[in-house]
Amino acid sequence: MNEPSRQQRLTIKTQGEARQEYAAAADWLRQRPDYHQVFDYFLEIAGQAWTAAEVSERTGRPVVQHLCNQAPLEIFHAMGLQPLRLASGCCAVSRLAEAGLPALMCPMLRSAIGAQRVQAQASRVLARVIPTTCDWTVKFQELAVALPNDLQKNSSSPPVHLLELPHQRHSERGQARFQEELFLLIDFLEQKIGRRLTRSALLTSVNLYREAWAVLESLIALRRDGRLAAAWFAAICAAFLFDSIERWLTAAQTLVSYLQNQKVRPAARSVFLCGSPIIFPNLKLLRLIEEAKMYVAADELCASERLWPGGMAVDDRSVSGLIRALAGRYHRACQCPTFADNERRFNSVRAVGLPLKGIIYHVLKGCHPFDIESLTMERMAREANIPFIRIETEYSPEDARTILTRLEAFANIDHGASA
Amino acid sequence: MIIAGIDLGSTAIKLALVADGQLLWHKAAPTAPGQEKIADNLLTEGLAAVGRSGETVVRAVTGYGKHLLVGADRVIDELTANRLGVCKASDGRARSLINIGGQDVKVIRLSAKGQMTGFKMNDKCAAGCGRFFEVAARILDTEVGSFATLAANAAEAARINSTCAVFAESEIVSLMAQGVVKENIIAGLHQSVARRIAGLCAGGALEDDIYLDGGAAQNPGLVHALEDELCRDLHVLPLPQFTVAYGAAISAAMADSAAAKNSS
Repeated sequence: MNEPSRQQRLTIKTQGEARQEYAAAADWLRQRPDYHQVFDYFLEIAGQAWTAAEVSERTGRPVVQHLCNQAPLEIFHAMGLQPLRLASGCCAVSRLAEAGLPALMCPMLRSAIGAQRVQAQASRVLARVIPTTCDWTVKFQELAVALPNDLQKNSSSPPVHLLELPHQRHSERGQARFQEELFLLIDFLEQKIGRRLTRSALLTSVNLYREAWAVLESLIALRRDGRLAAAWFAAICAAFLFDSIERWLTAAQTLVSYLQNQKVRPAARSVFLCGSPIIFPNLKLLRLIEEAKMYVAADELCASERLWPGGMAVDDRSVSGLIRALAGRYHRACQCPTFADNERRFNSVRAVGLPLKGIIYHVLKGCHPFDIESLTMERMAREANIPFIRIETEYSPEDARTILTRLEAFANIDHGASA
Repeated sequence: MIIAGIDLGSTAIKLALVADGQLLWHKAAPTAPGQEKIADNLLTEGLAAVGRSGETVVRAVTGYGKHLLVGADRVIDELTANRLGVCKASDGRARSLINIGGQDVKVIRLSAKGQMTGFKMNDKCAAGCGRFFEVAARILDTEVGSFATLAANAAEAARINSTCAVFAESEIVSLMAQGVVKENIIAGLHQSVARRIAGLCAGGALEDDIYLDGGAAQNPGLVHALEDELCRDLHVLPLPQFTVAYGAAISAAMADSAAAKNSS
């Protein structure tokens, strides 16, 4: 038997560290006073890194990996596929990607690439669907294939479909192009699975996800009035990204019933969290915000509240009608900072309708679109007299104390005082 | 009642003994493993020095190591402690303050009533902070305390491009190899750090009157360089290294006073 190479040893070691990182985040949640067994399902799913093979086995569906929020989940589901988000909040696996990638790279995608390297089981990914959002996302596949899996010899990358995203979502031309893109995505997936998308399957999936969006909306309302901490919301969203919608929906409905019977706890220092995605087990900023005695009552993070694309109006139940309606939600209503016309994103902060201590704007180092839009958001916040703090960080915990100092000061700042 | 304001900083542990709002005693010790023991020793020494050994003391802790002190009566965030200390020590005149700590620089804007209305901090690297001067002092084999005198004798400030503590180290070594005299290098260091701090103060971060504190404020060479860079006058309090510890004590006194009012 051949000795493992140095790289294989590092990969195996990293697997162990990653497991510990996930377990530590889940254990921290279990030890909180607001823990209840109703959260166990979410901790089970969020508390470990699932391989595509494991997800496929658990859900009984072939897996399609995808990035970002623009590929309608209803389409995957209607075609009998399990969408699995290519996203990782794990710091440990990042080092497996560091050597072969640009130094100042989006930490989330670096971690996602690192996570692909530690998957020991043979890949059971039918395809990858990548919406062309930011530069890192567009180049994801190129970067990912440069770093082969160390534990699966002869592994090959799954076929990729680039879902071209028109970056002007309010233009009719952009909207028409995106609808066309969705039809091309369907063609691609039909070729992969060898059967057609049917109207009834799509309608069933649209209705199923409508239920999920309604539950997500209820959960959002529960966090507004202090009954659902941000760290729990992160676990709930991670489960949404990594498990079947049916299982998630059942568990989330139970959770909503439980939380609705809990006391409303209006938070004295409610904040709105904006910016780069926060994905389990990267709870660093959420923990520090709590430590600074603030409560995240709302956010607009793409792997959190923005998973909910908003209510969908279906006036035509043909496949074309349903696709048009989906395109409207997943493109026109999306607030990704890669869009050129994004006023709606800023308005969403104003529309939250809460007395806010302020806006905490999270920028992952190397996450350029959110970094760029932080300037506009800050200006908007100043104009609206909303306190604003920008926290630039990465997955590593080394800057935690410095960030805490800033957050504590932000919590104690007297924004009512005239300067 | 005696209150011990303890600032567990990244480079030094500072202790201020306060009673009735007055500073009775102060001392600093270098940060080292066993911070709790160092703080306890400072407290014992201070109480003995003011002849009040054995009295009950309220321990109000702040600084990066504030959570390391088990059994502290009050834990206060650094910026609040800093604001209170400078406000009290300046008799409420301060409207802005720049704190140059061991590992960070804080710029705080204050209202006329001494409330914090805004702040800025550098990111996690130690550029432009107290640690940066310590690194430079080691390479130059010179005490930080003599930097101001040496810089005053500089014929011209050497250009130091890097404010990264690591890169500046090689830049200083390179200047020394080129025969640039120590005085010019130190003057260049002051300018380099002042530029970086001034950058942090840009965009309306400062109001007059501006107070400078932290250990580095004891260096008049840096103060002059910063005044030059900001084109503003700076005030330095008599004990700039102790304002945060003092402010922690003031914060605890205010909290106790408020609690007493509520209970009566």
